[in-house]
Amino acid sequence: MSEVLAMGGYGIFVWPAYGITLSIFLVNLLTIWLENKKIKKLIKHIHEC
Amino acid sequence: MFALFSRFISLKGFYQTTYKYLPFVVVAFLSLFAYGLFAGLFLAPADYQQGEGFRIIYVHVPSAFAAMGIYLIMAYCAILTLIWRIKIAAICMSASAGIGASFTFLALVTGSIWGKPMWGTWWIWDARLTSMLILFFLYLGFIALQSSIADNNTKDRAGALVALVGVINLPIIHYSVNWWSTLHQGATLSKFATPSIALSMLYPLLAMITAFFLFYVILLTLRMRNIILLREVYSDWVKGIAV
Repeated sequence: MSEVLAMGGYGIFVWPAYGITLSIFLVNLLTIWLENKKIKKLIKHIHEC
Repeated sequence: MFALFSRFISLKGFYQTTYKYLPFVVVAFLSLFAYGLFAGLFLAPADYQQGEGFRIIYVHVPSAFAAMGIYLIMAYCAILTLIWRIKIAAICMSASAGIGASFTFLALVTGSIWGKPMWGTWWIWDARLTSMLILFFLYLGFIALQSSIADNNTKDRAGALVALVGVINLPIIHYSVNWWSTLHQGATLSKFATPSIALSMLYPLLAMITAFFLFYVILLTLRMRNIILLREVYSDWVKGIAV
């Protein structure tokens, strides 16, 4: 396990690169989901008034 | 066929049609991403020069490909917007900008992380890196310009002009490694006749590149659906979605 994490001494570079990638993927999805929630709230507000 | 096409390019039609196809794209993305991630990290052999550090290319190269590909799609949409004023193309262009900016940022950051152990520096004003940074600023400029305009038609046309002007940067990025003496390595994937990468390394890379583009399609579809709802907020068909 520690060998996998160490990645031949490159672990401190490889794992953060993958971590940042997954984080950016999640941030993109989260942003769009939150935007959708906001828009649906706005639609509800407009059409109920 | 024409009826299906015209239904797809109408805002309401796009909103209703994409909902059905999206799950298939999600499944394809998850399968390819899982394979690419696992094979890239654990199955592909270590590079004879770069050791295990080369595994960063499985996120760096796909993000760089996506960054450039998305801008190219924006340029095509810009032409459709300016000449035929196709609304769905303008929405595709607007929705792509934020996603493209995030992929460009990812390409710059992962490239920088790769550069430290390989070149001994996080950043250098090399032609490839600088032209990618310019691409990032083009995306930001596009987003800033569109955010500053309230009227949708003006916003679409102004954005389309910026997208078209900026497309000149794409060949510069692509050929920068040939035109200038740079630290960045030359193209690996354009030479399919004589691949400069072993097949056991190539397959996970191709899977990851496809997965990144599929992820772009997922994000693009969701974002376009949001923009359509915003633009059609007073339409009757939108009423039933939230109420």
